[in-house]
Amino acid sequence: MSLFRRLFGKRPETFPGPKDRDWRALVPQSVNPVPGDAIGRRRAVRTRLPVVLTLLFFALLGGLLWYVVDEGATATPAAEGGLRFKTDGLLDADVVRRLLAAHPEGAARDVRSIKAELEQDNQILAADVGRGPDGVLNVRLTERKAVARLVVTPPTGPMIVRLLDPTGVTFAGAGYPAAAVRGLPEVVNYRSTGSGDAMIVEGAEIAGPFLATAMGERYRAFYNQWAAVSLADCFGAHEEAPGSSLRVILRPGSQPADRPALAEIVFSTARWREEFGILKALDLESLLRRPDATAAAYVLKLNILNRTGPKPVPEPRLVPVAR
Amino acid sequence: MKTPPPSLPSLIAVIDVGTHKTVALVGQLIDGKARMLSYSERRTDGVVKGTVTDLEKLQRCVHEVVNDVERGAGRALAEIYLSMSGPAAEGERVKGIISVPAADGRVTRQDLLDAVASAKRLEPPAGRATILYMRQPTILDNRPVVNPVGMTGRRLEVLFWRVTMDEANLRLRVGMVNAMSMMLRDFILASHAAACAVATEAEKQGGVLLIDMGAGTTDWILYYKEHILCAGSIPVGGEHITNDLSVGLRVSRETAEDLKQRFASAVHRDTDLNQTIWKDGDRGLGDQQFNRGTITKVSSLRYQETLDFVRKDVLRQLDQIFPDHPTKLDQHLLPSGVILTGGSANLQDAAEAVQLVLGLPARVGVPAFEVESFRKPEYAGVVGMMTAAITDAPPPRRRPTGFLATLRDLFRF
Repeated sequence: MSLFRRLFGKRPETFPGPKDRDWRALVPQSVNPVPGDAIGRRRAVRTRLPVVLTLLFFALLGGLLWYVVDEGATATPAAEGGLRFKTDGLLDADVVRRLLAAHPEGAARDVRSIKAELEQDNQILAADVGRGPDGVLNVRLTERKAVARLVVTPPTGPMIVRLLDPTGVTFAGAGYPAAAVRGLPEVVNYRSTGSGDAMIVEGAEIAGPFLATAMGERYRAFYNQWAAVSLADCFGAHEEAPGSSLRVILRPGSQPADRPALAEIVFSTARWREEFGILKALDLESLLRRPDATAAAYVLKLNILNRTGPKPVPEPRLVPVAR
Repeated sequence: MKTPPPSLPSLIAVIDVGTHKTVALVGQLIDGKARMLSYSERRTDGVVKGTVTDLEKLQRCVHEVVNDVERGAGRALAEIYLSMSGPAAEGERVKGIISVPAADGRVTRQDLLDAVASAKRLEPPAGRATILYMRQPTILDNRPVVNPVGMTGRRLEVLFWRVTMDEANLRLRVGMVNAMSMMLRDFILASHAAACAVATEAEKQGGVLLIDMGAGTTDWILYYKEHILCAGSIPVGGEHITNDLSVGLRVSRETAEDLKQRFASAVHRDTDLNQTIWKDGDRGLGDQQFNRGTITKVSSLRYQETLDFVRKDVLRQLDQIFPDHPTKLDQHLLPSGVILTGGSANLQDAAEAVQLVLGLPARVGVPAFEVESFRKPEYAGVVGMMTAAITDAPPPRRRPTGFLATLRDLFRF
């Protein structure tokens, strides 16, 4: 191109004439963007400051938005390896990957079979599996929430910790941090059959909703003091049976040392919802500080009914712990 | 119907670099009028008699002025107009002549353009660059006309006053402005700028001589029939009077400057000899007394000598322009007389001295400006530069709108 231009292009004038002597042609201007001296640097900073501040503002805004979106989502979708994974719990995408790897068809499997296989895991309440137009497998899990833990001691091998959900189903609790598991009340003195995800705990169908209610905002303060829930007197399916109760054992260190401790709370399996209301209404602190409260520890029995009238009336009692 | 957002007036920044002081003005052109945004004035360093002797000092001084006006205006300057005065700038008359080609002798627009091109085809002297052309009367068959298009004649002459500057000085000034991250939009002849501020169109039409007597140089410009006829500069100014007083009275330059401002006059009177003046006025220890007659004698001699230099320079140039017609400075040529501007116009009896030396009526030109402190003859140059720059000002640009523009305005210094 340059050769073409050289041969056939317009030749530069040998004598450009007075135009060449015009000051603009003679001294082409070349502006120094940042002057070297101190005043120039100050001016340059001042000139660029609005742009820099605007950019900083947008960066901050973007950062805040990112943070809010990131915090709002319970899990970040992972779009690697043809899989887009999302969950509202603590499981990670490896659960799906392991499942896909175990099958010869891998991610090309039928989505219904993947869903069925995922839902076989007790920890997964529901799995929404689909395939996008780009061929990527979309998996969205709804996980069970733990309300309590159970320690299972198998005939051989180490003990296993399992978690209990509000419906009374136990699950393995994969991905749960150890500290979070330790913070849950333990279900003790239970009777069970089966093992693993097939394990059935007698009375869990009552203990699950009971603990889920306690875990709610209304009774959270009580729930935080609970160390364990004993199912020793819980008759499971016969919740109306006289004497069927849920015994809640409180954490020893959760109460003031200058008054008698409340060691246990006994709820009846039939009326525990009303009894929660009674518990909230009671001024336990004053009751335990009464001068006649001389025992070291008491049990609060909410399950007692006064049957002297035409209609049984709840009659909560503080009973000293038998030594 | 949605009204368009108001346009953002462009900034007009002018800087007058004199021997004594550097003044900058920043304004905005709103509805055809310049509204001043900020101004700054600092003592000039590195210039002696209009010649740059220390570029670093001058650059620092100009940069400080630019920094001041930018802070005042709240906007960065992208381009400026710079004054041009002193011996670095020279003028000459260039002429383009064509024979009207039409058979009926009717002058067309193309004929006028050809004549203009013919005038501008003349090379400037070696080592000098053309800075600007200023229009002079157009002559058709020895008759001065304002616009010859459509008229009939045989010989069309187009005249320009061409201002040139030597290359070294030009590079120095352009480089100085570029180093401050600004473009030099154009030069404005200082004497022409002063005339823009203080001379009326009627005075220019009749004929007027403007003398801008600064500290280091005295620039003059002569208008005749509305156009510039000639202009020039001599390297003598108010500092020479200060210097003479310093030597004559054996006092420091600062004292001499103070005495000049308070007691000097452009005309010496015998009654001055009877007056005794005191330097400090308290007549205490260290105070000195002088005879006022001595001061007025020294100052008037130098002042009148400077005016005589101007007279000779004007006549020399007029002789070059009209070689066949001997001219003299009188009221036939300059019925509007002389206008004095510049710092030395503040000297007592300055107008009277002009009448004595040039034999023409004279007045001191004070620019009309919104800031009262600028209504002094020494600011005629910079105020006039602003007036001259308005005609050449860049067009207003579209005002940026939207969230981003609002945000930028919010963070603006």
